[in-house]
Amino acid sequence: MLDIRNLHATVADKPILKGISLSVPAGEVHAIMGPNGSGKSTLGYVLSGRPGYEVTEGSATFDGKDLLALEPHERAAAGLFLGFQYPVEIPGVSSLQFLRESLNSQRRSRGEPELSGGEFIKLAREQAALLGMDVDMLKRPVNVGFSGGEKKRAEMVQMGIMNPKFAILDETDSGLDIDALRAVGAGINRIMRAPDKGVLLITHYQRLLDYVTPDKVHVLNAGRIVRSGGPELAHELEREGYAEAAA
Amino acid sequence: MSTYFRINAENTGQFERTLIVAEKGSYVSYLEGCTAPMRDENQLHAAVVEIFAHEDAEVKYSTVQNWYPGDAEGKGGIFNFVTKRALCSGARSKVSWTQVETGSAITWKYPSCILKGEGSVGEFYSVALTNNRQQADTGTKMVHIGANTRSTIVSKGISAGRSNNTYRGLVKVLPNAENVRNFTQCDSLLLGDQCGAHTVPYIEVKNPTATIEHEATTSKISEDQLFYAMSRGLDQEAAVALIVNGFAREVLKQLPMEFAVEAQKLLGISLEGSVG
Repeated sequence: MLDIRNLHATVADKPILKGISLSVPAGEVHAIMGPNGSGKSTLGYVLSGRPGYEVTEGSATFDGKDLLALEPHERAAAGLFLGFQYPVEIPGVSSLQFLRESLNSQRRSRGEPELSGGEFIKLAREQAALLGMDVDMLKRPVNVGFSGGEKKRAEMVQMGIMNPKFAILDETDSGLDIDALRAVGAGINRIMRAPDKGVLLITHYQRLLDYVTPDKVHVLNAGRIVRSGGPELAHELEREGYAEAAA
Repeated sequence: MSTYFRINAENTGQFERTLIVAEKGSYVSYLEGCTAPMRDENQLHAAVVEIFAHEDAEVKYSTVQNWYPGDAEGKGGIFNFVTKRALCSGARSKVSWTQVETGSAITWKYPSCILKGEGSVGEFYSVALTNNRQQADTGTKMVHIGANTRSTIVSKGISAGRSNNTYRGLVKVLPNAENVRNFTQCDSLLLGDQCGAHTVPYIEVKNPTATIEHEATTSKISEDQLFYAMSRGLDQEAAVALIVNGFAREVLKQLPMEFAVEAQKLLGISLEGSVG
């Protein structure tokens, strides 16, 4: 589903990713773990097309399509979703308006009919309720005045509304209390655990993996994958730290 | 009440005059829209609008100005030099100016309120958007003469291309005007690195009981916001239009509903091709 081959990328001419190869088949959840500054977030940004992140070598394909040739909005229309570590505030624009315009823009690109106002609000209400969020929160400007936990929950509501084929979730667990962590974990399983979907879960800690069991765990260090293994690898990292595990 | 102004013929100017008198206890909402076809020669529009509000009268005056702005190199376009002034003569009278200025090669326009009646209220809500070689120099004058008079000014300037956008305003409190309140907010948004935003507020206070607040911000359109919106499926132009409309929301929501929808679309259209 997602195939990354020998990916090198720079930010402001500084090499960050130094040859990453990774394949996530449909139906699997892969966790990317690693210390601060290892390139985890950069990998997410490169895959979603953030300006300023330049690919210098290698390739990334998604369902056989050259992902790196697409604009960010074209990647979204192809079914890619990036859950932000720091969700961005957009003053004056309600979440409902933002998400409806975004979803309909994706649907137009795919040749699907747009959702009417009524259809969209029904979908938004369902998805918000599934994450324990009042739909009134989505009438407020995008992420403005939300707590850290509310922002992460709202990202999952967005993911539920977009219903992507593949999600890259960048530290979706940071800043969450136990209840929110459980709700977010359940959301990821409900929305993304399916035979035709895939997830790249970027995280520092084991704790989210207690709720979302990965099929594979990869350890990133200094821009390279230094170890790969099953879910037990995350427990080993938690016990022994990155320095030991990566050695 | 709704009016529509258009300059059609070549080599002509337009010099209309509007007078609104609001009788005691009356209310009127007046809308005006302006357009003109594309021509290589500059044309002049110099209008005068005057409003007189008696006791307890309220006038809401809304403008969507979309005169031809000239081409990308600044050739052609309307010179829009307009005088707009209101006298809040009666006690508790109120005049509210709302304007969305997207057109014209050059705009000079300062809708004003003379707040003479005790407890009278003046408001000015403005969105001015300039692109390519456009120049907008606009703002308001709030002259507080009566006691307990209040004014609110909210100005949102959006500059793109090689344009220049200036807020120029006066808040004046005369010696006999007790307990005056004014709140002013001027925000500027820059798209690209060749445009300019300028804020020139004049505040003259001759009475020590006045409370005057002035807030101003200038920011560039945020890369984070653009990428966030694009990662959700909006193309760049749609993302810019969405963020700009959010920036101008406080003013747009003052417009009558049917105008607000048009004005939102107009902001998006006026910015086409301005980022990238």
